[in-house]
Amino acid sequence: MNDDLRIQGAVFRGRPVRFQVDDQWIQSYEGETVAAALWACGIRHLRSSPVMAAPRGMFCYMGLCQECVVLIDGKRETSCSFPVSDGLRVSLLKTP
Amino acid sequence: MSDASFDAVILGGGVMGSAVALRLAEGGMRVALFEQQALGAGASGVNAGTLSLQTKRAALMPYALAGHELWRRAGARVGYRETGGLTLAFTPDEAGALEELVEQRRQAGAPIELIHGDRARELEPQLGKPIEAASYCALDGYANASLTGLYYRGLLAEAGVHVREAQRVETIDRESRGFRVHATSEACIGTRLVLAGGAWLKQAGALLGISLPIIVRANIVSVTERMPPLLRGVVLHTYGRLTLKQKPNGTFLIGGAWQGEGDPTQGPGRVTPEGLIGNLRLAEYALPPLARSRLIRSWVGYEARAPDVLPLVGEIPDYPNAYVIGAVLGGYTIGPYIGRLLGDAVLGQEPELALFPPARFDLAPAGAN
Amino acid sequence: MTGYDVIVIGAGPAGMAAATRAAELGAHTALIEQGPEPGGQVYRPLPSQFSAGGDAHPGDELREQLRSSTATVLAKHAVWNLADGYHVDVIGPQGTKRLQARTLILATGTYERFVPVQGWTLPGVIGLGAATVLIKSQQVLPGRNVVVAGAGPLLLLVAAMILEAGGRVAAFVDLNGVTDWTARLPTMLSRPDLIWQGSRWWSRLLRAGTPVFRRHVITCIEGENDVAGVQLARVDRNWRATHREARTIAADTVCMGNGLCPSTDMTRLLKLGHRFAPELGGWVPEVDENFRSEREGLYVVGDGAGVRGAAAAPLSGEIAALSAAHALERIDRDQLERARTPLVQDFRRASRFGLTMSGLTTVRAGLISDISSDTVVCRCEDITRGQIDDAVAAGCRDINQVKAATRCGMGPCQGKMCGDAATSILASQVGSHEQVGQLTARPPFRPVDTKALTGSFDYDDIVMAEHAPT
Ligand SMILES: Cc1cc2nc3c(=O)[nH]c(=O)nc-3n(C[C@H](O)[C@H](O)[C@H](O)COP(=O)(O)OP(=O)(O)OC[C@H]3O[C@@H](n4cnc5c(N)ncnc54)[C@H](O)[C@@H]3O)c2cc1C
Ligand SMILES: Cc1cc2nc3c(=O)[nH]c(=O)nc-3n(C[C@H](O)[C@H](O)[C@H](O)COP(=O)(O)OP(=O)(O)OC[C@H]3O[C@@H](n4cnc5c(N)ncnc54)[C@H](O)[C@@H]3O)c2cc1C
Ligand code: FES
Repeated sequence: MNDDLRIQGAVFRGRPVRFQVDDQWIQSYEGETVAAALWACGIRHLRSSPVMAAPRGMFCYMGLCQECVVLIDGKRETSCSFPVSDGLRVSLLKTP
Repeated sequence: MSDASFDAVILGGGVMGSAVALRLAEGGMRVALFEQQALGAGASGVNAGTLSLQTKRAALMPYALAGHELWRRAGARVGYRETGGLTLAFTPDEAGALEELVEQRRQAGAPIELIHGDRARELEPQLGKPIEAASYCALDGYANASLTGLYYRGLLAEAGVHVREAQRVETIDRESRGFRVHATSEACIGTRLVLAGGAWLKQAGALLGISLPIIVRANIVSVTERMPPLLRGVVLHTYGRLTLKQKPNGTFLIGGAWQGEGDPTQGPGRVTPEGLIGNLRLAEYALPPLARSRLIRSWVGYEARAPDVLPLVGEIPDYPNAYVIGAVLGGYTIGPYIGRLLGDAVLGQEPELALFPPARFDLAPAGAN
Repeated sequence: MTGYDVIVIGAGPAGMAAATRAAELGAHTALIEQGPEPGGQVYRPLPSQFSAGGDAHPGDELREQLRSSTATVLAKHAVWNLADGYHVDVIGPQGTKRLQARTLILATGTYERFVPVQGWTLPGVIGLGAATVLIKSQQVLPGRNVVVAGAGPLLLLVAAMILEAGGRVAAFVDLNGVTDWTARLPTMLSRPDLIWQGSRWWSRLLRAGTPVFRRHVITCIEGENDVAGVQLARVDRNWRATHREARTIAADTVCMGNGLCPSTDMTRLLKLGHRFAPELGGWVPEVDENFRSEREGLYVVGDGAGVRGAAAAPLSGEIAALSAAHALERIDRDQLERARTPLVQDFRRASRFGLTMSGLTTVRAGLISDISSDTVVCRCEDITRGQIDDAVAAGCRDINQVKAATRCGMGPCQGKMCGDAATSILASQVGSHEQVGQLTARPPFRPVDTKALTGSFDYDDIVMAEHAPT
């Protein structure tokens, strides 16, 4: 699941932007949310659950479940409602 | 249970009612306990769980020390943690007040020491702002109040107390054999009666025809989501307006008796923005990294107070064999112990520490004289 | 404090229609929406930075009417607390403020219902609703090879959307059978347009050769750190897995959902009376035929008052707005009745269809009893079904006792993901939903930044009025 899941041809996306996830640069487009941009390039494991340290990722895409929470510029945010922009620094909340 | 009779009937299944019930059962009595919701559904299950000697009135210190010891013994079953606690003074005025408070509490037996602001920051490096002065108590800690109901449900069952949850006491009649108590769908007779109705004590007293001088407070408590470790122990404020701790799971519990609104007879209280924001600001002032947290839940619990802010614990004048217990400031800490004391009195034994007899107030209903 | 005649919370179809109508009738109206733009779940617009080449979008008409009305739209404002009176605490880009209104119309819609299954917490498993938004609004495919599973109309919608967008549906796993659908045909006939749409979706599935499993359930989602596949089995009438026709299917993504339940956080916080109505999606606030609650000036509209679907939602909003305008003396009884009558007829027709569809999702007992004891129910706190069962064994009888004993529902989502499942598990053992009740609602409705509440302040700004004597 590492090819681009963006649907081609249906719409014109916004201006291309780049943001950083841990040490990796991600290509994205204005108007996308951080969660969708990560999903599109196959980054789905966003955090670890608190007790079992089990892998978790975006689930409801409505701002309810809080499973997509990551650190964005040092703050905990629901990535499914956070718009991308150039130079954002995203850290996943995975415990090793 | 409709015609069953008991040696004692207890109204209310918070810490107070449960602790009395346990003592009476230990003493060999047949006990019934009625709780309108669920055990621990009142203040005892929604309080901040701080077990701090630094927030206790000097007059109550011996009771607090003894209560603290009982929670220590309950241990993991109630999530007991002894972390040590700091009380902070941010201004010269507060520092002066703190010095006096520490002195009073030390004299009352609490192992509290005055320390330098810098020392406080050594203990808790994440604390912010100039700290004028601080005090430290190694015994301070907390337990998990959400577990109150579960904890007492187990103990009461073991002790053979007849616990009736979702049974609201609606009438109480005095008869020759004792007190006939009617609850939602059950009734029974108790030779003795204990009112342990928390913030509902005024209404409970009215069932008996007395007017208990209860002032209800609607205290706000809040929780953040999990954060990286930032705080080891409990952090308090000189005037008691902040209790702050980071639970083992990483969440912060923020209290300090900031006021919401509500009326216990009308269901759960309401968080007000003013109360919540004041509480959060003080917390953030003490621990700046809290600014990066997210608040996930705030609520209000109802607490009872008497006009002199001392407990109401003892026999009700003119009503032989009827007792009240409540209005204990810091009642989560003190409850298990003061409940035992009242239990001893009900069993006809001399309690090892003095009670706080309600007879100091005029309990005649308004308009009765 | 800013005051209004009418505040509407939630700018889905119901809220947009309510605010537009209330403003048209002369009420000083505000519409509050946490999202960046009005639209709600069905009519979630494309991000403003995307362009679709001129095509009209569903919901544009409602949005246009709203725009040309005098209603004040406060987008990017989330309501975090409410009180009688009506006080509405919002948090927006400028921080927090309290608004006040004589009339409050709640239009906050639904959440998706999830019945937990082994492996549903894996990355790569998302809700059916999430899939619709991902495709519609973000133009991103959920996966290349997707299992679509659960119950209700969203199932078919999501499968068709995936195929349309060039994905593959590895399996279409429907709890319902053909007869469950056909039994509903007579009511569905009231909406030939939707039947037509549904059959187009169906033929899309058939053309693509999608493996269709009726009366089947996912018994386990497999994978290490992401989805690798699912195990399926046939269910009986009670939706209990029979372990007949069990099979494993490889997939990279799972979209699952069991219908919708009304979002009752606000009505619970305001302590309205609720009743348990499975046909409406679960617990619903008590409202009359004008969607007015027992509390004066308080209305609940749209799917939040019972899941009746996107067509019924705006009609209920308009009916409530009319009733509110009458109560505020903007229109007389004649005007009210004249405007109301046709709306009520349309509403009845639309909700018959909507209710028929949600009926397909009413959870049957076998689905709950099959949740295995090591399955995580509460995702936030990692609480399993076994831990809930233990709490029941320890004497917990209502959902708030279970919450206190286990932490189920205490995490950041505040029970929005697990509340329905946990209460269903408890109810299946204690007797009924009425006995186990609902989770107590507590503010904020969603997590809020502490800093957004505290703002910038000095120590002197903290008013420590009185403190306990020493
Ligand atoms: C928000 C908050 C935070 C607090 N923080 C702390 C703290 O950190 N540390 C500390 O030491 N103390 C704290 N306290 C104080 C402490 O919680 C209380 O003093 C203590 O729990 C009171 O116990 P109780 O049994 O008297 O009352 P409750 O726990 O309220 O119990 C009374 C019970 O009686 C029941 N009842 C009432 N009427 C009837 C009836 N007619 N029939 C049947 N049942 C009835 C109620 O449902 C209730 O369960 C706090 C209090 C609050 C509200
Ligand atoms: C995820 C999902 C996807 C769906 N997809 C479809 C579909 O494709 N087709 C279809 O026919 N039906 C779909 N439905 C069903 C559909 O949602 C409803 O029938 C219809 O949208 C109901 O309209 P409504 O106005 O009642 O609520 P909604 O459209 O849900 O609108 C509620 C609005 O309230 C806002 N809100 C909620 N809480 C707050 C708060 N605290 N502060 C501020 N604003 C708030 C929300 O952001 C939202 O915009 C979907 C439902 C869900 C949950
Ligand atoms: S995916 Fe659920 S909150 Fe973002």
